[in-house]
Amino acid sequence: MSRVARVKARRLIPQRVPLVRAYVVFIVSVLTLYTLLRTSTLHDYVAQPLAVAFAKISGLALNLLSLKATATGTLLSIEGFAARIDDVCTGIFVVAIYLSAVLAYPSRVGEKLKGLFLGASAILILNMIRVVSLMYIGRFFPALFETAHLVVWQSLIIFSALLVWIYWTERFVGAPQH
Amino acid sequence: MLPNTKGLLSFAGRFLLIFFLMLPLWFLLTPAYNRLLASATNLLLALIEDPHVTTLVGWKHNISIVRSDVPLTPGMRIQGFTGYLTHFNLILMVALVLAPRQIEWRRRGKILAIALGILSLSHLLYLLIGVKFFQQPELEAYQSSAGRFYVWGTNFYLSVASQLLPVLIWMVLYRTINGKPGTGARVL
Repeated sequence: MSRVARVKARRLIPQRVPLVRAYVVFIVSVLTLYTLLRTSTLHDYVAQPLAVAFAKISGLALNLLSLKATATGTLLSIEGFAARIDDVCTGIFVVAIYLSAVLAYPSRVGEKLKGLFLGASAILILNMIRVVSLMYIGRFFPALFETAHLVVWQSLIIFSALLVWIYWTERFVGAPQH
Repeated sequence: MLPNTKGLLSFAGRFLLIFFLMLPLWFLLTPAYNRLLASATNLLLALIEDPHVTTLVGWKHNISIVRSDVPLTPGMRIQGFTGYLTHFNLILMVALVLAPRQIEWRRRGKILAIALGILSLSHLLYLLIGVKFFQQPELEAYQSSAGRFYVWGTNFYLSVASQLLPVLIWMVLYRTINGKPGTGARVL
């Protein structure tokens, strides 16, 4: 290695350390949260109640929008269409990804808490809109249901998490921590 | 409204526009991409499977699993992969790379080529793990550590990795390919 290359490497390595650390924290956090959420305890006490709550609140929203909806456990039904809301449909895994990104980004604890509250609320509200819209699509445009469910909304939810995260880093994280 | 909020909203608008323009193209290309993925996976399966009994067949919007040790009978249920779930993230990837402004097309093209290459490799890996997952019933799979890994890997890809990978690849490539630290959000 030439002297110039060695000097360049010496300058670059300290700059890259926080970045590499952030990626490592992010990946470890995603894997840990995913594995935890798949355990029967968290499934029973977090994911399942959240799915039931989603079914109930979506049912209320659909009733407000003049579609007669009933929620039985995680099963949401309207006239001519029914869907079961499982843990993946609640957006909880996207919240876990977002939480990992907030944890990994260099910032203070207070900023992280704000970020978590802002992001989790935004993702869960958008997911509610997703569930309601999918019920409409399933009822009135059944041929489009699979595409809307598996292709469009999955991409839009993760993209919204990215947007909220960028917004949080710009708006809530103090400059010295950047 | 904060200055960056405007930039962020315009980034979101461009993303949505590109995403919905790419969607019909993706539908059109899916059968061909499924056949390509199936052929590439078959090459790898021939190397790692002993005896080699599994073949993947790209069929319209799905990739079916055909086993030479199980003869096909009328009414038999054929297992396989849904194209939607396997590679819907390609549209997300393309939209993410094309949406930001103020990036030279040469750099954009380079990022897109690398990103799509990495995603295709992840699709191959998912099919390889998924084939093993489908080869045994889920309860039986839990009896061995390899079986547990196949179940975990398949579920992790479907619930998290398929959505997360494009975002992660996008962020890493923008930093590493001619990127300067701190320019990420500014160019939106």
